[in-house]
This record gives sequence, C-alpha cells and structure tokens, in this order.
Amino acid sequence: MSGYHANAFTKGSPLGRYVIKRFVQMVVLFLVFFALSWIALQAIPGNSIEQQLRLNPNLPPEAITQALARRGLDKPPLEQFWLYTKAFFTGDLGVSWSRYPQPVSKLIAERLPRTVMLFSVALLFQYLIGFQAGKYLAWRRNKRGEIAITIAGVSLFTVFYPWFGLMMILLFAVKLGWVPTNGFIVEATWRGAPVSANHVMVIMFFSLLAVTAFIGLTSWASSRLDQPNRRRLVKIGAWVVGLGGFWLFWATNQYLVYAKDVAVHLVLPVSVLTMVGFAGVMLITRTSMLETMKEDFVTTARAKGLSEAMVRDRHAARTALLPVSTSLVLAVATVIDGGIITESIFGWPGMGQLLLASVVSEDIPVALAAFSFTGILALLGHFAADILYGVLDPRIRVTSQG
Amino acid sequence: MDTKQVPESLQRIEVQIPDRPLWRIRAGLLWESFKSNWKLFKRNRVGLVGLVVIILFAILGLAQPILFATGVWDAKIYDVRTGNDTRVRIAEMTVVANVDEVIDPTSQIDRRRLIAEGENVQVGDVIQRELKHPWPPDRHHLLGTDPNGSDILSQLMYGARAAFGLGLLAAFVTVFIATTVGSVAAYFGGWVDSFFMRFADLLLMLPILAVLIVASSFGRFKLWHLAIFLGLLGGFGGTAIVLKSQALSVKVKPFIDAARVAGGNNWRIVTAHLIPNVMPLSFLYVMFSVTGAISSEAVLSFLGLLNIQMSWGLMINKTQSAGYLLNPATWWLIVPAGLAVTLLAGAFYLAGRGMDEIINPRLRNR
Amino acid sequence: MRASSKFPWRFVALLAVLAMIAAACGGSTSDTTAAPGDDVTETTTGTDTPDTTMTDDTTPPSADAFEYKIAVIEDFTTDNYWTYLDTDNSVYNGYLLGGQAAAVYTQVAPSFTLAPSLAVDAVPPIGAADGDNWVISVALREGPTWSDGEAIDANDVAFTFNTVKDLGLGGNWLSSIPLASEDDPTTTDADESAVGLLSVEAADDYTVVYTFNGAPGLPLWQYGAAQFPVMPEHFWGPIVASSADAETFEASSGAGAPSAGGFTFTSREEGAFARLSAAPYYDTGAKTVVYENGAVEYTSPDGVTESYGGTPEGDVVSEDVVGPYASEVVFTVTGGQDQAVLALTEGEVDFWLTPLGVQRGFLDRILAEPDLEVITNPNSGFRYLSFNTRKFPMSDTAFRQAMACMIDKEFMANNVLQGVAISLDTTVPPANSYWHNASIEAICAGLSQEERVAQAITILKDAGWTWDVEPAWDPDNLDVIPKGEGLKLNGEAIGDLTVLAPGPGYDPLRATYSLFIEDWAQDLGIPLSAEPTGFNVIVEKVFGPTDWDMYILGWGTGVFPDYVVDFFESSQDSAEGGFNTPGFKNAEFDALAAEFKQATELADAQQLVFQMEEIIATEVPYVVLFTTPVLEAYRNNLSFPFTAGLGGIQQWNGSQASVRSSQ
Repeated sequence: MSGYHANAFTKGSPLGRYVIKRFVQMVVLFLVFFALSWIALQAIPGNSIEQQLRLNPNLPPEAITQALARRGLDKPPLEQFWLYTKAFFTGDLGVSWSRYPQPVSKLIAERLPRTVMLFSVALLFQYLIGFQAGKYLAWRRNKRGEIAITIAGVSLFTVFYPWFGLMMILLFAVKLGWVPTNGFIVEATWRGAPVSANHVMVIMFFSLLAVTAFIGLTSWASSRLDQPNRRRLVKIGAWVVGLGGFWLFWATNQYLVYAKDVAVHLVLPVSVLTMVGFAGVMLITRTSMLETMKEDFVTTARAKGLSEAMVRDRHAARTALLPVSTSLVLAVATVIDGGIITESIFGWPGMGQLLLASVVSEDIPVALAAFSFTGILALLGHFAADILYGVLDPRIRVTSQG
Repeated sequence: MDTKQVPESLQRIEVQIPDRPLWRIRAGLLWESFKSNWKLFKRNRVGLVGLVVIILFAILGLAQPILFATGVWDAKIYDVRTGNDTRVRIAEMTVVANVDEVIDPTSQIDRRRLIAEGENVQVGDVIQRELKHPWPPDRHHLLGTDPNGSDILSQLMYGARAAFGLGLLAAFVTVFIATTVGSVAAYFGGWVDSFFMRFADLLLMLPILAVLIVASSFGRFKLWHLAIFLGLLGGFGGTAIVLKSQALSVKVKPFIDAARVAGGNNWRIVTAHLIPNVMPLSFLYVMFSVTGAISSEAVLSFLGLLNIQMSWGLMINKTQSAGYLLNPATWWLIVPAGLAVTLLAGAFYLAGRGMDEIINPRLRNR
Repeated sequence: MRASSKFPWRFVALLAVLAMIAAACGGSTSDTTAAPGDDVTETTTGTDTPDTTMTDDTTPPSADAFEYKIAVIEDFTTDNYWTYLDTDNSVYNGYLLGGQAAAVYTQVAPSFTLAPSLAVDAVPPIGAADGDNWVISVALREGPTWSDGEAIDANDVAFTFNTVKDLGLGGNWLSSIPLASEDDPTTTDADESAVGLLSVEAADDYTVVYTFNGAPGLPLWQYGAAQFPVMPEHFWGPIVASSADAETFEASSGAGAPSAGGFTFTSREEGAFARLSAAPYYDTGAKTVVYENGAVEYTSPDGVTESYGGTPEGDVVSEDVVGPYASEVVFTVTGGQDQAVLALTEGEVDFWLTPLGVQRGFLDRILAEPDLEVITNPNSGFRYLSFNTRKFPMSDTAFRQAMACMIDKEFMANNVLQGVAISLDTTVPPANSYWHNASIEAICAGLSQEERVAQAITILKDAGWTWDVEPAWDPDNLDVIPKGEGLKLNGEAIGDLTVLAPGPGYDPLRATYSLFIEDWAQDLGIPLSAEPTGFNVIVEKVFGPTDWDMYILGWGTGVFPDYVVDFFESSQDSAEGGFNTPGFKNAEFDALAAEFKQATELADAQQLVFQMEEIIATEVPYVVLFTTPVLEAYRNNLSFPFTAGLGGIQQWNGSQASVRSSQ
C-alpha cells in the first residue's frame, strides 16, 4: 500500500477536493523550486558573463560596466531576484544574457518543437517495444530466452550512452550510409523553403498524434463490442481510415518534402533512444506482470481453461499496462533533462542543448526558464500519474526517472 | 489480536536475554537468512552474472596498488597522471605520397601526414621517425598508451577503484538517508511525513543532469563531493519514497503494535523494529544507486565538467577531445573505458535484479 | 471480461502504422509520394513564411559558380552585425558576418600588413594638434560601393561612430572605437581620463575628420580607430531612428543588409545552417600579392598598382584575385567536432571552420580521404604559468627563475604533448614575425634535466636560499634523490603552495602540464601541489583577489602586441581591475610601456616591445609555456590564395571572397 497519494482516495474524499488540494501543493512546491533554482544558479562561483567581458583586454572598463547594467547585473542579487520573479509570473521570461538581447521566450519557442518531435516518436517506440518484450519475459520466466533478453536489455539500459550513440553513428551513418550523420534537416532541401522547420515539425507531431489517437480510441471502443466479427471489422476499419487519412494528408501536403527530410533525420536518434530505453519499460512490465499473475483473477482465468496467450494478453497484460502508462507519463516529465546527451550527440538543437548551454554559460534567465519548464512538466507528470493510478507503486515513480 | 498475550511473549524474550546476547542472536539469524538467500540468489543466473562481473572489477581495482608496491610497474611510466613511457621507439620510414600507398605502416609513412605535422619532406625520402603515442597494445602496455603516453590499463584499474569508491559511497549515503527518512516518515506520519515527501517531490522535479552540472561548477568539486551529492539527491528523493512505502507496510505488522503496547519508546521502535525490516529493500537500492552513480560520473566527466584526475568517464572525454573517439584504428583508447562503465553499471543493476527476486516475495518462483 | 481489448493486436498494428508513417515521410527512395510536395514548394507564397527563412532567387551568376560548404560546431546567435560586435561577439558570428563591414584601413591577409581600404593614403596620416585636441583628416576613395550599389562614403563612417556613441553600444565596439573619457570629478581616487575619440565627422562626402582629445599612438589610431568597421547608413539609419534604445536596435534582424565584402547574409535556420549569397563587390578583380617581408602589392580592378608596408622582396606568400567566386557560402552547424569530421570525410562539406583547429586524433581519418588537404599553422596565443609576485615566495625573482628553469618545455612538447603543443618562450610568438624578439632565450633553455636541477640549485643558492636537505641528481635512477627539504630564504620557510590549473576535462594539456610542474617543484623542495580547478573559479580567484599562489591559463592574442602592456604594466594591476594578474611592478617596464602607447612609428614600437619582452623573460612574472598549432582540413576542390600564415585560414573567416573551385 502506497503512502499519501493513496490516502486521498481511500479516505473517500471526492476527486474534486483532491485535485484542488494537489493543485495548491503544486503551486507552493513550484515556488520553492523556483527560488531554490535561482539561488543555486546564482551561487555558482564566478559570473561567467562578467568574466567573458573582463578577460578581453581590449575592452575598456566602462564597456564592462555598461554591459552588466544592461543585463540588470549591476543591481544587488535580491533586487535582481525580485524583479525577475515579478516579470516571470507576469509572463515575461526576460532576455538571454549570453545571447543578449534575444528574448528567452523566443529561444524556447525555437527549441521546444524539436525536442517534442524527437522524444514523442522515441517514447512511442520505447513503450511499444518495451511492453511487448516485458510481456514475453514474464511469460518465459527462467527460460533461456529470458536470461539472454534480460542481459541484453540491461546492457543496453546501462550502456555508456554517449559512447553507444556515437558508435551507432559510426556504424549506420558512416559505414553503411543509411542515415545522415547528424542534424535535423539538410540545407539543400530547405533552401528557399516557404516554411520553417519548426512549423513542419508541429504539423508532423499533430498528424501523428491524431492518427495514433484515432486508431487507439477506435480499437479501444471496438473492444466493447460483443461480436468478435464486428470487433475485427471496426478495428480494421479504424486502421484503414487512420492510415489512409494520414497518407492522404501527407501525399497532398505541400510540405511533404520537408517532412521527409525531418523524418530521415529522426531515424537514427529514435532507434538509439529506443534501444537504450526499452529495457526500462520491459523490466517494469515484467515485474508488474509477474505480480499480477499471482492475483486471483489470473488463476481463475487459467482454471477456466483459457489459452495461455489469452490469459497473458487479456488479463495479466491489461493490468500490467497501468504501471507502464504511469511510467510513460513520468518519462515525459524528464524528457528535457534526458535530451541533454541525445541532442548533443545527434546535433539536434532542442531544449536539452539549450539547457546545457545556459547552465554552462550561467545564462540565468534562460537556465531558470528551462528549469521551470522541466519543473512544471515534472509536477504535471506526477499529478497525472497520481490521477491515472491512485495507488501508484512508488517503485515505478522512481525507476522511470532515469 | 489479543492484547493480553503480547506482554507475556515479550517477557519471555527478556528472560532469554542473559543466556545469549541479543547481537549474537541477531547475527545468527542474519547468517541463517544470508545462507538461505544465497541459495535463492544462486538460482537466479542473471544476478549471478552481475556478481561475477562486480568481483572481476574489484580484483582489477585492487591489483594496481599491488603492481606499484611490488615494483612490477614503475610509477614514472605507469602513473595514471604523469606516467610517460619515454622509451623512444625510432623507425626508419620511407615517405610515400598517399596513405593508401602505405603497405607496411612500420616502415612507410605518407607525406600528407608529415606535412600536417609541419615537416617538409619529399616522396622517396627516408626519415628517422619516433613512434608517437598513442601506442597500440604490446607486452609493456597491455592496453596500449593514451596520446600523452600514459598506460591505459593502469588508468582503467585506477578508474575501477574510483568507480567503486564513488558508487558505493553514493549508494550508502543514499540508502542510509532514505531508510531513516522513509522509516521516520512512515512511522510518525502527519507533518513529518508531509515535509519529507514534499521535499522528495521537489528533488524529483529537478533536471538531474543540469543540477549536477551546476553542482560541478562549484569550486573544487571532487569525486567524493559528487558521491555525497548524488547520495543526498537520491536519499531524500526517489529512494526515500520507495522505502517509506516499504516502511508503511512494516508499520502495520503486529510486532510493531506489540512493541508499542509494551511501552516502547518511539525512537526505539523505529530503530530496533522498523528499520531492520526495511533493510532488505534498502540493500537492494544500494545496488541500483551504484549503477546511477557510476553512470552520472561518466556522463559528467564525458561532458568535461568534473575536475578530477582520472576516471573512466574522463578517459572517454580525453579520447574524444583529442579526436580519437570514432577512430577504429585506436580502439584501445575508447573500448576498454566505455565497456568498463557499461559492464560495471550493468553488473550492479543485474545483481540488484537478482536480489529483487529474493526480497520481493511476489516475484518468487511459483 | 467483455470489455477486454486486444492489446497485442493493437500494438502490432500501431507499429505497422508507424512503419508506414516512417516510410511515407522518410523513404527517400520511394518517389511515389514525392511529386505533389515537390511541386508545391515553388508555388507557395509567403503567407506562412516565418522570419527565419527567406526566399531569395537573386543570386548573381558566376563564371565557376560553386557552393562553399563549411561546417561549424557552434551555432550562430545573431544576423545583426552590430549585435555581433557588441554582445554576441563569438568567433562564429564573425565567420558569418565579419565580411560585411567596410573599413578605412585594414590588415591584409595573411601578413597583417596595414593597408588602406577606403582611404586614399597608403599609411594613415598622423594628424595635427588643434588646441587641446588632435585632429586627423583622412581622404576616402571615390568608387567603393555597398553591394546594393550605394556609394560607401564619409557619412557611413561618421554614422557608425555616432550610432555607437549615441545608442551607447558596448562590447568590442568600444575597443574598435576608443571613446574619450574624462576624469570623473566626483571620485578622488584615480584619474579616469583617457585619450580617445571625441568625434568622427564627414567634412564632405569623401573626407573623414577624426577628433581625439589628445595625441593618439599606434594602439589608438593606426591599430584602433583607423580600422573600425563601417556600416551602411542608408540601410541602418532608419532602423536606428526607429529604435528607442540599444536593446531594440540590436534585436533587429540584419537580413538583407548590404555588404562591402562580396557576400550578403540571406537566411538562417537556427541550429541547422546559415547562408550567404554572393553580391556585387566593388573590389572584384583586384589583385593582392603579399611578399615574404610583409610588403603588399595591390592592383585595383582598373589596373592601378600600389604597394604598402615596404618594398616587395622575397617569395610571394599569397596571390589573390578578389572574387567572390562562390555563389553561396553555406554553413552547416554540426553537433560537435566528431560530427564535423564526419561531415568533412563524408563529403557533406568542403571545409571545417574552427578557431581551435582540428585535433591530431582526427588525422588518421582525414588523411585516409585522398581529396582532403591538411595544413598546419602557428596560432597567436599562449598558455602560461603566472606567479603572484605580491606574495612570498613568488615575490622573489630567484624563486621564479628557479621554477622557470626546472620546467622542461622541450620535454613536455616532445615527449608528453607530442605534436599538439609547441614550446614557447615569449608572449609574442615567433610566427608573429614582425613583433617577435628572436634574441630571447628562456632560462635554462636546451639543458638536460640533470643540468636544469643543478642550475636551479645555483640560482636559489646565489640568492641566499638554503635547504635542510639539499636536492641532488641521482645519475643511477635518473631522478632527483634526495628531493629538497626545508627550503628557506633568510630563515623564512615556504608554506604549502598551490598551482590552480584547468581540469583534464576542460584542457588536458594544461592539466597534464600542472602535474609535471608540481613534480619538478617538489624535486627542489618547494611544497607545491597542482589543483584541478574549473576555469570560472580560477578567473574568479585570480582576477581581483590576491591570495592565490600560481595558476595556469592561456591568452588568445591579436597580432598587434599592445597586450604586453596590459598584462604587465603596474597600473594594470588586477587587484584594481586590470589584467596584470602577477601584480608585476617594474619601473623600467612601465616607462617602456608609456613610451609604447605614444609611439606613432612601427619601428619604434617594435623596439619597445622587444625591450619589454626581455624584461618579462628575465623577471618571469609569467612562465610562457606553450602554444598550439592550428591544423585545418579542406577538400582539394577548393583553392585558397594562401595556406600558410599566423592563425591559418580560419583567421580570415575562411577567405570567403577569395576561395575558388579548382575544378
């Protein structure tokens, strides 16, 4: 039995009150998080913006003073914090220090679609493959296949990721030449393009989301139908309509050539992310399936003489899906942090790279905005997970933080 | 539960105490449970693979000081930081025009390389040339040398000690804090619970890698600072939540009630009854924390953010910054270190999985 | 369990969808779906056009039109030249925008010879006093135009100055345009007044008048104000007029700004690429020949030949007929150096433009490609060990000399940092040939380790240092046995000393060096330990505070050696905000420095720098350790006007207007 999250439900308080209570907690937590982040960033010894200026012997002292004043760095820290906080909560994220005078909101708007594009596809594959593999493992407990898959999965899971990523580039991009070595678009394709890459990625993301949601929802709805034949018919229909619509949408889309370019560049990073990430999902699925299989209803189903595959897919797997989806929600919350390495290796200029660059260069407005963004994502993720799964097994919460 | 029987049973225990000291009973029990658990663990081949790899790396790490102490290795040559093999290897080489004309790399060299190194020679010249580091593996340097002429095997051994030191320190700090916090929060509940759990939430919100980068920019951030820092993050963060839920399930067990009814002091109940029963799961999280710590260090070093003398991550970082990372011809610079990080982190994880099967009764074999 | 669903089916099918999506979007070989999209791109009009990209079909045709494809490993952060020189002063923005500006005088590649660009006179006029002020009038050529055909004239020069002054632009604008400042009467501690520019005015369209508040020397005038970048008034004027402050102005886009360098900036996709297009260039067809002695022979497009910087003698170093030949310069931003080398070896780019040069480890792979050329050039800049001369024992000259003697730079360069570091003895490197004092030899240069130990002991003994246990060289073990113990000067012992050096993750060369320095110092009995420290922390600890002992950092320097003054003049003490971190105080040096700042003749300035360098080499506030060569690689379809020179090709932003296709 898990702790405080469960209490809210088990005490029988209505969901509404629970949501309000959690919301208030979230706001307070965010304020503390915001202040702590600022203090931590501020406390880094050596103001690198100032140092950069000071280390240039050609710069007269007044140029340094002036540059600092323009960034508001001449004021005492507390005043800086107050001014920044006030602006932040009125929706003004301020101006980057290292890329002065570009607004932080502009930098984030440039980077965010790219990170969303890459990681939404990667997470989709990670979870699909991880779930299937986990199911297989639980069912083949202590057989030879299990050990091989577990060791292979864990090796990929704990592999030194930057190195592995570069080796994959060497193999697939250089030796085999199947995919581009890095970046997210090719200049030649985009020359004179009437549209920005971000715009195309937004369209790609939403079309993918729409198709996935349509097929997923229709299939889920179809499972409520009684007759197997009808069920199959509706499902096939959903696939045909979904895929057909998707194909039609893109075949007639003026941006197809650009979307293709982005998709080609997605292949390698998504594959590598899937390889290193699926094992985590696989192990969660396996554990929760094993636990589920001791439950009465599975035993009953077995006793009823249902086929093993049926018991596995219909009963055990369905229950096990709950913690898996919870961990997916939590994984979404850590995408930006996890993006730091991936984006550096594959030259994918997203939020992770922005976060890394801003922290290293002590660009506090950008860093704080990126921190806040991850913080809000994490809060919402945990909140959604709790709602999704009132009695959340805390192990899932933790293991999905990697 | 019949409350009247409880004090009697407790009294019986107290009577037994004079014959055998409590710690000996505990130690005996511990030994028994260890033996039975070991049997279970041995059956799990995944966990066993992990354990074997851990032991191999431990041997590797311990071998280095022995090699230095016995004089097998001369510190001037094999020191991980300033070791430099100055035995100059000179070969007579004929200059050819292009690298694809080189048939025997020990006696031929292409002109473009020499020009790139700032030497002006003509095709057909015979030059005296010393073999530059990195040297490929040979009998003096089983894993070759790095671009500065230091021995890779020696660095790998030092790195193993660093990884164990960092990993275990971080893991024990994590688990010590998490066990205490989890048990206290579970037992006392109320605002104590709320405080620690909200704090844990706060830590889970942090972009960990970014926070570590911030931390590493603080002055003289050494390896053990990193270990403690990772320990604090994990101990007050995610691990505390897991161990608290374990402690909650222990808290509702009859013997805790019994102890309370017997008038046990709260702190004594926590330390003597609650914590020991959370310990098995804690021990499991030691394993997972080691994995996390080793990977974190490697990533930070890879990004060049740690000011330390040597580690596996740093070996990879130096290889990358010198430009040898994607060069299959100098595999000894990158493969041993990359493999070591992967293997040791994976081994602790596998060993942890193996233990999980023992500790988590729902995972035991049918 | 009626509501049960078929999960596996669903997921298998989803996988299929994704596979099809991937095929639809990504199958580069399937052209079934390609046609409609391809057609649409050209007919689409600008309703969706975002501000980051532009359609531009006005590229002028060129005889041997080719694309100059360049890889860079860091992104560009601005397309506005003003912002580049002020707040976004990265070398990468320089590669992209550096060619845009015009200048009255300029330095010619690769010899850095001072030559007129817009000016008529071969050398900048000296000017004359006018009351308290100093006035210099420069005549400009008629003829040069911006890429859009507008004339480049004196009004543009004055406009640039006034914009910087009025809007209060900072950063390197203030180092290019040294503004005069006056003593602040409210403070009593120091005289803040400095010689600088009061005004720049256009007397007529082709005469610029510079007014200084005192007589300017070489650093302020010839290598300062005479070379500042000139911007087109007709493009930027309206933007300046409509900008309330510097912040708004610098946030504006520079896309479409006319250029005076053969290329205009056309488009940029953040994090991916940036593009320059060839544009009409007033200097196209001009021929510049640079000789070994630094003299330049310039033939204008209409056939008039002039020479600058002396009489042409010796071999030709560079022969350049100005283009532009490339129709486009395309910069591809790659994730890092590994990816840049991949792009180079895979043929995706022709050149990797990097200020740090190609690391030696990449050589194997680059040389394996027969069409890649590799060149190596010296860099201007040095890494050094600095002593805090305010503090005992670093205050003792003999102590510093003994340390310098022990540091075996040749051993480090040849055995440890093989080929990636070049031993260096002066702050002006030999490659900066005009300013380099070749007669300087480092203390104990060329000695063996045994001789160095003996020499260092002698230096210390002569200065009155004593040991409890005197160090000695043990010829059997080839090491110092016993090591020195209890080193004292007149009975005063040395406490524990620390040398701060960047960690191996930041710079393995300096990190390794610091460990060897630690060893050598301990041989002598100096209790020194190397402490790997973050770059920021070192800067924080040594610029300003004075409680440190020694540190190792580096300087990237320009060619004109006014930095020698900044680093060691006593008025530049870092405790008071200057650059003299050692706290070096030497009256003789200060006198030379003052004279240098006033010098107006190159030959005089050169002699002064030589003398200052000699003082530094004997007094050793810095031990100059080494410099790194710049290795560059390019595809052999490119042909550069020169491949040898200080800083290499990257020093000149990749010679964009001169590079040709050799095919």
